[in-house]
Amino acid sequence: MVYKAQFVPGESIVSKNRKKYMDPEYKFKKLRSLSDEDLVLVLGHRAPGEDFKSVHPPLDEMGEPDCIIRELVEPTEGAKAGDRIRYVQFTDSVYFAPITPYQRAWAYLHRYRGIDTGTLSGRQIIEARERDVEKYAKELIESETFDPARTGIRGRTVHGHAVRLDENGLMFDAMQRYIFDADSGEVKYVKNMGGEPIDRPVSVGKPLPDEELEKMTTMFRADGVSITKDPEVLEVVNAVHWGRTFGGYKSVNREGQ
Amino acid sequence: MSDINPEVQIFPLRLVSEDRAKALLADLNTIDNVKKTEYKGFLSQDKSVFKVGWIWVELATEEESVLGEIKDVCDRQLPFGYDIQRGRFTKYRATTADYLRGSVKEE
Repeated sequence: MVYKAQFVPGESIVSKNRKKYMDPEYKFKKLRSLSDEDLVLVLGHRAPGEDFKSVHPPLDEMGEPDCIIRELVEPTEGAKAGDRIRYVQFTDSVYFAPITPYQRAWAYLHRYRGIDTGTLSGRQIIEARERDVEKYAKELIESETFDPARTGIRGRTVHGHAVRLDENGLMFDAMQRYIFDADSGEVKYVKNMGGEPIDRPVSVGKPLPDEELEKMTTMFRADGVSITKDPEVLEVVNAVHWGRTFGGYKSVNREGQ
Repeated sequence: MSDINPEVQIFPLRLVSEDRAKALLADLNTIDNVKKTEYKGFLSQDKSVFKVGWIWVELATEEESVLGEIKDVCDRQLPFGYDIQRGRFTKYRATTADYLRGSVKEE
């Protein structure tokens, strides 16, 4: 029997968005475009135009040992070239950011190869070979999972995801990496991910209106779509909770199951 | 509690710029029976931006009408919404810590 992956339970708009982002067959909607130079400036791992630094010679020249796994697994572009490991990290506001850190991890692991991803309460990091990081970061920033106001590209001093938004609807950033340009209505990065000033401001486009964000979010919220409105999600959450509480690490041993 | 003045906390639903907070306080100070106004916020790391998150208004009376006037000012100055609460939010008497620090002179 062939199963079709459901990814997450539920029929609400929030569940549908979660499924959409996790399904590798679904292509992210492109909402803005960012040039390669802009991306390199924002990430701050190398100067624009600079070559990728490497930590080992290209795999073709290395003469790898005979290994069935190495034959089976196609290396990523970055691994082939021997790039350094670099990262990109996003902070997602609790005020209807298009995606949340945990769902980022789920989506990344369904979509990207050769990554290590880490989840914290408000932020999500991807570590990978440098050119792979740039490829993934570009796709994510240009896609519907990014909102200039509610998502931040932050390497350090990331807090602000649970702080009230400011008057322009921007998530608080203690390092003031981005500013709201009132004339153009766009959000502009004036510092890179690590908080160092960059040569010229990089525009990441206009923030999306609230109504739009509420349709795109993967967040159950009492003032949006409440988790109690989606019985299937609630059922699964309950099953996991009670299984873990009474069964510990062996939820199958739970009494009555 | 009768000798302690009541207070109102205004909690804007968005972080407010210092200019807007000052304009709000100026308007609040024109209301009768408003004794003292204060605000609290926080600085960005490079100290370039200050955001205001809490505003406290000390009143000289328990009358409900003052609250209505405060709400009128807030409706005008905080279009994105706010929460308002009555109670006591700032310090009104010396604490034990103040005695320990020696900032209160014993009579």
